[in-house]
Amino acid sequence: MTALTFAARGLEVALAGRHVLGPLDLDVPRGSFIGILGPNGSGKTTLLRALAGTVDICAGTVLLEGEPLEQYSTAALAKARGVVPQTFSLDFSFTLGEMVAMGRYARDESYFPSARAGRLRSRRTKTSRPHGHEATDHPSVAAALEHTGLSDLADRLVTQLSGGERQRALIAQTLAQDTPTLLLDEPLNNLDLNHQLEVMQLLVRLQAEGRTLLVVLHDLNMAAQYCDRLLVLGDGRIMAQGGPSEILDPALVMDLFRVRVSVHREGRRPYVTPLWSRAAASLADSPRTGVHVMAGGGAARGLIEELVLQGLAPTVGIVSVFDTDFATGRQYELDVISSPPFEPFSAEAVRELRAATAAAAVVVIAPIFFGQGNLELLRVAAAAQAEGKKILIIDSPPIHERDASGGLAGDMLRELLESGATPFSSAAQAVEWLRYSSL
Amino acid sequence: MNRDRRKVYRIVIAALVGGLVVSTLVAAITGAAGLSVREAFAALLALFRDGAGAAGSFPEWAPRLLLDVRLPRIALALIGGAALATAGTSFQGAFRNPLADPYLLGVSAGAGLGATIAIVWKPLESLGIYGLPLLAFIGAALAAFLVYRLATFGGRTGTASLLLSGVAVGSTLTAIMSFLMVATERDLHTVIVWLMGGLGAASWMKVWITLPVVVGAFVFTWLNARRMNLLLMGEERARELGVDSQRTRRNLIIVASLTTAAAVSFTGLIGFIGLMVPHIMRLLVGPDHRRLLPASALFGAVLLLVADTVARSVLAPAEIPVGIITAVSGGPFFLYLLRTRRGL
Repeated sequence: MTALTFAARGLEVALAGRHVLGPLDLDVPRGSFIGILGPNGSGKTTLLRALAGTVDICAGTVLLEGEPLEQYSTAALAKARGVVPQTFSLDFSFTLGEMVAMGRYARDESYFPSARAGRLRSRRTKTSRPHGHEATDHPSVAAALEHTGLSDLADRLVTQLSGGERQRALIAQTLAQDTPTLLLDEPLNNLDLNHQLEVMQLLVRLQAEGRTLLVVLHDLNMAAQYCDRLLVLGDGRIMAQGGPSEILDPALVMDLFRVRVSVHREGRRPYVTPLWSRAAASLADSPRTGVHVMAGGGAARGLIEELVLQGLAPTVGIVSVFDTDFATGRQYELDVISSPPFEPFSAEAVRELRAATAAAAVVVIAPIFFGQGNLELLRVAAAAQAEGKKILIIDSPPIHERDASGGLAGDMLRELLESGATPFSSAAQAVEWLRYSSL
Repeated sequence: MNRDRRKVYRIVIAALVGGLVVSTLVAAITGAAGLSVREAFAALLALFRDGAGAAGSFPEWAPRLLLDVRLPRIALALIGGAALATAGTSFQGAFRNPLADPYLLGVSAGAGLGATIAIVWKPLESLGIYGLPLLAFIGAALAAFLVYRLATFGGRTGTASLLLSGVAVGSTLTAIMSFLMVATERDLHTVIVWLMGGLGAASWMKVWITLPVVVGAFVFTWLNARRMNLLLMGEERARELGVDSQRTRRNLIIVASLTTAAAVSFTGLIGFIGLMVPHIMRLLVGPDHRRLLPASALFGAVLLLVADTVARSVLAPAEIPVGIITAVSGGPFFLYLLRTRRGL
């Protein structure tokens, strides 16, 4: 007996004469929870349909539980695997309960599937139920509605459901089918965050019951968070497969989606933050890209994030290696000029700062808490201003509330302002100015 | 809602069975033969007690009239109405389209052409009484497949393309039929009388031929009710859930064409029953074919019987073709559906 739910060898699929998938080999061990990732048009849905047996394979073989797919009858296949497609259309006014109960078709041979369940219940409750085929009587249907949070909506007409309810109805219909293997094509479509998490947790429970799950997902973090293994498709081929921490890597994501991301590996599962899209036009494309952020004590966190969102990759510094701003800069993989903690800035750090301001077009001074130790920042800023660099000062909270240098910092900031620096009351305003100024 | 539907279903079936009994009685005692209601009723009662040899307070010929003219006509109306309604429900399910019906899909035109060929092509007379229904069936089935093929692009069958190809195929077949009629003038009258639809020439023979076909077709269709429900979600989804979609759809179309042909070959082209009846029943009992099919068949039977009774009473002793009655009531109803399709 094989331990593989699916084994594909040399699988190739062509749709309307166009080659869209393969050739690829794939093993899906029983009980695994595999996330299928890849850009639009990479063949994810086609792979799922090929495994489900709903699309013709033009070369290769797919074994389901060791048996070639083509040896399954339609009915036998429906007992072996359930499919959640991306959408469905049902223009007739079935109730949600009736629609979910349709999933029992392959399982219940009797004409009125839940007639027996209905009779059992009516005997218990001593009520007469001559037609006893209420859709939701079957335990699997009731459980499917329960799992998807739809029990209260069972009598609602399908034609009156919201997008998210329709999506969950589709999942419930497939759950009612009660199959050991489930193939889901973007099951989180149209769902709000709450229901996305509920569905993913439901899938984890189904896996714990011993089911095999293949899920096409768009959200890399959902996939990393819940799936055991990830399968990355690009151009109809498998680009990578393995555990989430092996797979989610900035180079691969850039390669597939043309998006620069940072991957955080603090927790058990990696977490991906998109930085900027190479495809989208942004500040980063203009020649005046160079921005240096004078940071410290977490005062620059919001500013750094705003700049990164705008597609800029500012240099940051000087900050101590224990500083929150240091962590923020590193998180976005920026160049951060650092200095050892609890001592004056090192000569090397100051040299790097001068080089960074010289390379930048704009220097932004975050609302840092100033003391004798970091006045050097303002001296470098003054020097940069003298060289023609634009200086932006974020002065909220006002300097007198954060000046421990006996007024020296305040004086220096005033001098910068008198020489042409521009004050802002928030990071967002400064970034806005950067977007629209014709520097 | 669900509980309501079950209750409504029971009420609807009870009402339809009641309606069936009442309309049968009314049809039996109504007519142009100059028999009073009292006499007709007495003859009917006597007929049930003593068979054809009944005698009593009514003209001697009354039992014969009832037995040989009115009762087979009633039976044929009931069978024909049930057949058209079942076929309409089946077509709407198989085509996933609430606007599909034998008339609109060109199936009736196919049956009409088949019947015309049977009437005008003399060599076919050797087939006897079976010649016309056989050709009507072949015509109906071919027309259904032609329309289905023409409306399918890359595995998808759209509403608009379906109706358009139905209309196109239907009018082409009607044109060929008209040509045959003009080319063979001597049969013109027979063909026209057949086309206009009427139950005037009913006989027990016709009843015994159509009854098994229609009953068999209904049972087959009803056994496919769950598959039809799933097909409403599309072929691919139905396949995912375990239905052999293409085969089921093909079988349903064949059987519905057979049912249509069985009905129209003896009754002529009677429109709109197949469209209206499933719609009204769907509004009442919901779209689940397990309930929809029996309710539609019963309603279709009652409706055609009522229409036929009206057709032979309004201008008595002259008769209006029953197709005119169904079209007059069905046409406006179809327009109403087009305007308010949402939520069906």
